[in-house]
This record gives sequence, C-alpha cells and structure tokens, in this order.
Amino acid sequence: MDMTNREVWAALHGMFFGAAFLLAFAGGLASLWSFRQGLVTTEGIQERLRRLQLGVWAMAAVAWVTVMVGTYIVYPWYRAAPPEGANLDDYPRSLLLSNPGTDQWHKFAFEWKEHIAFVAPILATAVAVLVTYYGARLVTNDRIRWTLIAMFIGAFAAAGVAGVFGALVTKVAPVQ
Amino acid sequence: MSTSTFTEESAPDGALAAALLSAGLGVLTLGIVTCAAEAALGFKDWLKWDDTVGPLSGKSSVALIAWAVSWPLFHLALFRRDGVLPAAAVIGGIMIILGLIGTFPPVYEAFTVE
Repeated sequence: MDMTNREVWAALHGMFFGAAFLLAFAGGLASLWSFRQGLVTTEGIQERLRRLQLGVWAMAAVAWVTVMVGTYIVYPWYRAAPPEGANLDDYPRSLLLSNPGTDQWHKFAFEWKEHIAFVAPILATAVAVLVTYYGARLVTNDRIRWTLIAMFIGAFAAAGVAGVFGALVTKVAPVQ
Repeated sequence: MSTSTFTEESAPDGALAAALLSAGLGVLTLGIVTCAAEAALGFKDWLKWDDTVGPLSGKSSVALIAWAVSWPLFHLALFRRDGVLPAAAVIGGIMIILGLIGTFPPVYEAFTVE
C-alpha cells in the first residue's frame, strides 16, 4: 500500500483534481441548462445562482490546480533525462521513446495532452467570470446562456482529452 | 409566485463577446507558439522559462499572458455593446479551432527542423 512522493502527486493530479473537474461537469451543465424561465421561480433564482456561481468557480479553480500541478510538479519527473545506465522505469518519457512500439504514447498522446490541457482552465474561468457578471440576467437571455454552455462543454472536452490520454500514458509508463 | 413574472433584463452581449475573443486569442497563441517552437530551435530554447518543464513552460505562459492581457482590453471595448456576439462567436470559434489544430502533434511536427 506504499506510495512514493511522485505517485502521490501524480494521483492528486489525475485521480483527485482532474477527476473532480470531469465529475463535476455534469452538475455544472445541468445547473446552467436549467437556469432559465419556466424552470426557476423568482424566489429560487438567488439560491440557484449562488450554487451555480460556487460550482463554476470551484471548477475553474480545480482546472487551474490540475493543470499547474501537472505541468510544474508531475511533468518534470515525467520528462527528466536519465543518467547513463539508469533504469528507464524511473524516466517515463525516455522509457516510452526507447521502444518503437510505445513511442507514440509520448509523441502523440502525451504531447497533445500537455498542450490541450491549458484550454480547460481558460474556458472554465471565462464561464465562471461571465456567470458572475450576468448573474440572474442569464435566466431571461437564452443566447448568452447557450454560449456559456458551449464554452463549458469546450472546457470539458479539452479536460477529457487531457485526462484520457494522461490516464492511458500513466498505465503504460507511470511516474513512480 | 408564478414563473411567468420574470421581466426581461437588459444584458448586452459585449462582455461575453470579449471573453470569447480573448479565449480564442489565448488558444490561437498557444497553437502558433507551439508550431513556431518546432520551426525555430532558438525560439524553442527561449521558451524554456523553467528548465525542469522545458519549452511547455514558455508556450503556455505566452498563451496565458495573451489571454489575460487581451481580456480586459476586449472587455473595455465591448462591454456596453449589444449584438456583437454572433461575430465574436465566429471569430473566437475560428481562433480556438486554429489554435487546437496548431497544438495537434501531427500538425506542429510538420514544422519541425532537425
């Protein structure tokens, strides 16, 4: 049951923060979708709005934490160059590139993941700011609400690509 | 109280347009910088803002700076305006798509110099 320091950070990055963002998406989407005339009462708007704002800001924060932990804590261990004669199991990038059968896990999967991941916090933050900015006016402005939903889905899709490829690469060559 | 008592509150779409354009600019910048880093090794070295992270630190930082700086500027220019969302959605959407294409490995590897 022991976990190394690196494994703990990798798990926090993917299985805790990253997974939290992806799992929270359905709730955020449902809240945004239903924040409209006919589905909320005038009394319920303020309560629903507070919950919606809390949710989208929490998701934006989690997206930033996931990306920054991944980039500045876990990624350096992944890409570290091995010294001469080192066991490549401790150097995931080099391990993947050492075998023609696994090099695409780095060259395609990881390379795409490390870039596209940054789209998620950008879009999630934009949604959080705009939900706060428009507030209760979202209820009666479908065009704005639907655009926010599209941006929210975009953030989820980017996080989904990064998360799936991250999980698959970790299965082949874990940071340990 | 009935849900039919809502009154239509004015909500100019300029703030949303500004957010879309700045997000588009940030993602497009990421795509352009990613391709440029492959095409110019000197630029790729310059992007190593953090030695342990490598060029990704510079690529992502440049993109985030473009996004963060342009957002308030777009906002100040557009937040009072209404009816600008359709144009901003098209322009911002195209920038996001082009940026994503630029970060797709088979695309940016086409710019790689040995």
